[in-house]
Amino acid sequence: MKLTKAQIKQIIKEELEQVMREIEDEEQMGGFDYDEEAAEAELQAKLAEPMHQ
Amino acid sequence: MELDKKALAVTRLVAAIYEWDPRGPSSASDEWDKEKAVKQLIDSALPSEQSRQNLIDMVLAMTLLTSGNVATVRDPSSFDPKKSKQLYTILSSASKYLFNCLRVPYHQKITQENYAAAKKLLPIIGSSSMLESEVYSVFSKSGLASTKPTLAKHIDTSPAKAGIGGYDQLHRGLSNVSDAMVIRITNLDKSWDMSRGVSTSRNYASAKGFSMKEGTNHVLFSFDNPTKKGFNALRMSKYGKEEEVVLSGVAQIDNYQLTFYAEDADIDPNGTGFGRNSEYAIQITPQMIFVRKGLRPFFVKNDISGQEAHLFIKEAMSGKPFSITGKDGTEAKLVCKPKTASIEAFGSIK
Repeated sequence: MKLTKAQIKQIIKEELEQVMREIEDEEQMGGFDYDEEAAEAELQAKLAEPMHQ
Repeated sequence: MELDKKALAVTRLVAAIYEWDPRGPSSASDEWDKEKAVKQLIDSALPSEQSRQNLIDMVLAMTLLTSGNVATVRDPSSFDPKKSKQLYTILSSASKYLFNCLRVPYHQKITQENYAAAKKLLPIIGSSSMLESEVYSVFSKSGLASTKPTLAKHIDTSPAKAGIGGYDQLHRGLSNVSDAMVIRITNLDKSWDMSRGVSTSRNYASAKGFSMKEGTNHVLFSFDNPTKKGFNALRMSKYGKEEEVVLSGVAQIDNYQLTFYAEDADIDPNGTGFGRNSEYAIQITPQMIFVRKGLRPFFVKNDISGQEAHLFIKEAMSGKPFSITGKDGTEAKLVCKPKTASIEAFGSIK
C-alpha cells in the first residue's frame, strides 16, 4: 500500500500529538508545586492577549 | 500624558453616528449626512490640531490592541518593519470612516512610534471614566441636536445610549489556561494589576463564548465597573461583534464558582479495573465545598472562609493526592484530573 503525502503528514501529526499528550500526562503525574508569582504572570499574559486569538 | 476628555467623548459619539440611519432618499445621501455630522462634531469639539491628533491617537491605540500585533504593543522594541502592515488593513469600517473625515493617511505603514504611543496611551484610555452627561454636553454644543434631530433620537433611544455613558459590568473569557492559573484566581486576598489595558466585552455571551473556545480550563470573569471605566472599542474595532471595551485598572475577585474533577488516587490510572475508577465532581465557592461521587453527594462543608476554600483548591488542584472524609465516614484519597476546571469569577475594577 502506498500512502499519499497528505496521509503521511496526517499520520505524523497524529503520532506527534499523541506523544505530546503522553509527555504532558507524565509531567502532570505526581502533581506540581504551585508558584503564585508564575501563576499571576500567566494570568496577566493571558489577559493581555486579544480576545479573538 | 493627560486624557483629552473631549476627544474621548467624540470617539463615543462617532461610534453612535456610524450606527445612525438618517433615512435619506438614498444610501449615498445617508453617507453624506453622516459624514457631515462627524465633521460638524469634530469642528465644534476639537478645533485644534492637537485635539484632533489626540482623537487619532486614541483610535489608533485601540486598533493596535484589538487587531494589531499585541506583542509589539506590549514591547514596541520588538517591532519588525518588514512585517509592518498598512494601517487600513487593520481598521474597522467605522474607524476608516473617521480617519477619512480627519484625512489620516491610512495607506501608510504602521510604525514603531505608533506602537510606542499606543503602549503609553492604553493605560490612560482604559482607565478613563466619563459620565453620560459629559458626552451629551459635547453633543449639544456641536449643534447636532437641533440640526440632526433623528441623530439625537438615535443616541437617546438606541443601544448606543448605553455606550455613551460606559458600562457598569464588563466580562472576559479565557480558555486553555493552566491549573495553577485557576488556583491563582481563587486567592481573594490578592488583587492583580491590569493597568496595561486589556480587552473585555460588554457582552456576557461573547465573553462566555471565548471562555469555551479552545481547550480546558475555562475561565469567565465578570467585573463590576461602578465608575464605568474603559474605552469603548465596540464598532470602532475591526472585531465589532465582540463588543470590546479596553479596560485598565486593578482587578479584585470577590466571589467565584469553580468545578473540577478528581478520581480515586490508588486505582490503576488507566482504569482497567472496570467500574472501580470513581469520578468525583468538586464544586467550590468561597463559602462552600461540595463533592459528588458519581451522582451522589459525598462531602459537603458550608460556611467556610475564602482563605480555607483557596487552600483546599491549592492542595487539590496541585495534582498531588489529597484526602477527604465523606458524609458516611469513609475516607477517600483522591487525585485531581488535570485541566478539567471551569471557573466563573466575579469581582470589580478599581
